[in-house]
Amino acid sequence: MSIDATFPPALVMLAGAFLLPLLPRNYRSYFSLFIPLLALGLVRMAPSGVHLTMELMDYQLVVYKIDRLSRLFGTIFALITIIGSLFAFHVKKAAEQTAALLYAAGALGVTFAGDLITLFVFWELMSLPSTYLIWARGVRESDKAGMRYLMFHVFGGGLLVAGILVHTGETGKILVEQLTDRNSLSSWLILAGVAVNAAVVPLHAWLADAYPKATVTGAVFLSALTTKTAVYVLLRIFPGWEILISLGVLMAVYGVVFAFLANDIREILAYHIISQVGYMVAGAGIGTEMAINGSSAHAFSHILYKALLFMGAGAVLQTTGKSKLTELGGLAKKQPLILWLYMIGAFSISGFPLFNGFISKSMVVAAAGEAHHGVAMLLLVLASVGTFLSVGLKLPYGTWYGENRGVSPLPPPRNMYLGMAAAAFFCILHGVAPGLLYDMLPYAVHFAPFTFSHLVETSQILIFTFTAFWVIRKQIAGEAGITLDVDWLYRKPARWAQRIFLEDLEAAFNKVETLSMEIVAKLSLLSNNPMRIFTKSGEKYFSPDTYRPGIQRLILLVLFIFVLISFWELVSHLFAVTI
Amino acid sequence: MNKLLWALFAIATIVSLWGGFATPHDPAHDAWWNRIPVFFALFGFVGCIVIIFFAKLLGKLFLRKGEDYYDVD
Repeated sequence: MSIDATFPPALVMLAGAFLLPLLPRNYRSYFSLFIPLLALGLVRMAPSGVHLTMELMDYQLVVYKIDRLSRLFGTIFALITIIGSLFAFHVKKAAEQTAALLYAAGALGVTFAGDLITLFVFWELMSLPSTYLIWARGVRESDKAGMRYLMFHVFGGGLLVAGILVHTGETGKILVEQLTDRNSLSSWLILAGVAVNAAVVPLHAWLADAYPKATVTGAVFLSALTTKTAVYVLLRIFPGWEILISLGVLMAVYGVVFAFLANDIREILAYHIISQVGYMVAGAGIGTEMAINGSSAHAFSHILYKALLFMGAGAVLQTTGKSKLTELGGLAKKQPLILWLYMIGAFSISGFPLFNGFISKSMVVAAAGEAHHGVAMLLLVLASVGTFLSVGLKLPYGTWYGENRGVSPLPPPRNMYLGMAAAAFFCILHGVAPGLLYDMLPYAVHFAPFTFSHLVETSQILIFTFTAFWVIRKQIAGEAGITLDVDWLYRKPARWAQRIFLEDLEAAFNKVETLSMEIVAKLSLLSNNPMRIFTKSGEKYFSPDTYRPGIQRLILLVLFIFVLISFWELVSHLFAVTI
Repeated sequence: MNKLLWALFAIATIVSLWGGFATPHDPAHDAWWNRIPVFFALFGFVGCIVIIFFAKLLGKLFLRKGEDYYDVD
């Protein structure tokens, strides 16, 4: 197969991932930029339609199918891989670079999969490289969090494949298409499997647990790919499932509340992934054309500004070695560029006019209003208040302003600035010229973000959120410690299970072993002198000399009798011969 | 510089509040909250405080634990 416009971009990433470790060290970073760039070119150029099918037993797999929705997600996945690779340009570890490309290959594979088997294969392809990006940090807590992350995704993958198998068994179909049967077990299993990756509350705890412990550069890819491929699958398979509206709104508010409690700056951002993905999940649940457009646009915007925020927080961690609000402060004069690039991301996620969050988040909120979900709409607006509070005010205030704790940062590698600047460029570009994003959306857009009432509404919210923050800013500094989440439900019992089934059981075995050894030792004392059992007398240890004289006499007697008998026989024999 | 920023902030606040009164409303179609000119200003202010104190309360009652909570027994 020659490389033309219809070559699958996921396979380009896959091939790139396998070739990269073979290249000389100094070329790898360029290669990790070139491969996603090539994939982006292919995504943009490929005409809509099915471009690659394969036979697997009786089923026809649709490996590469592209339409407006998948092109939008494919575009942003490839674009963010370029930006992430630019941010990670200084990283020369082949394993990390390969993991990033494999991870992106999985995301693109899922996006362009036309059947559920292909989708599942690429879905699983994402989990291991993404785990590696957590493990690569190389500290004890990232090892453990990475394992928890992997276990959770194995569980989610199990739900998904179970759902696919039941679905195929029931209907004989394997194509990726809208599921509408609310009474079918297979639909719910698939939904649950996808919900794990979308970090739908209460299946979300892996995200806030693992992402803050990933490598500085790995977290950028993580923040972009896993949850948004899941959002894509929800938009593709479950549009209009009402339960997603409630779950999405719950995620939006839940993420905001927990983010406020977090002390680690990347944990704050991780909880805001859950919150922002909540908007997209709610959009999928509303299911109207405007809502699908809104969710898609918000996924596109979110990937850019969230990567930018993770890059900013990552740059702080890279340059200071610290990531906790209680350890940071007063860095504004020392790293103004990182601060301002971060703030572009913060303005975007908070929905400031002229930044990309303004033109996409409001679409989901408006779609909720249009579909008469008034309460959902107000709660989504409330979540955006909390977003501005944590990401736009508390985090930058605590990190770059606030108490100066004498942290002196090293200069970051220059490519980190470039990666952040690239993401910031797109955040502003789409904020200023929303048409560029709207033209890519799956349906025609009938939404104008820059209306007078929308500007008034947004400005009132932002200004008065800031006012409230300023009034009570002294009371909301970060606090040392951790926040419990539903991961408590498996982390604490795991400790108990370990205690009951390993430690206590081992202790019991040890006790029994010691006890039996003691009994054996006591019994063996008896064998020192078995005569004592029978005679109740004698020395402690058996000594043959004690009994030797008696035995000597016995043997002598036996020998004497033997000699006597022999002599008698001899004499009688002699007599018999002579007579 | 700081004074200039605060002055700009004050102007933005006034314009934004005036905007709430100047937005044309259609009582027949608007949701109830859209008929209150400063609704979103109140919503932002109160919402922000509610989130902060609700989160702090949850943290105090159940959720905040020491750094080594999962490691020690």
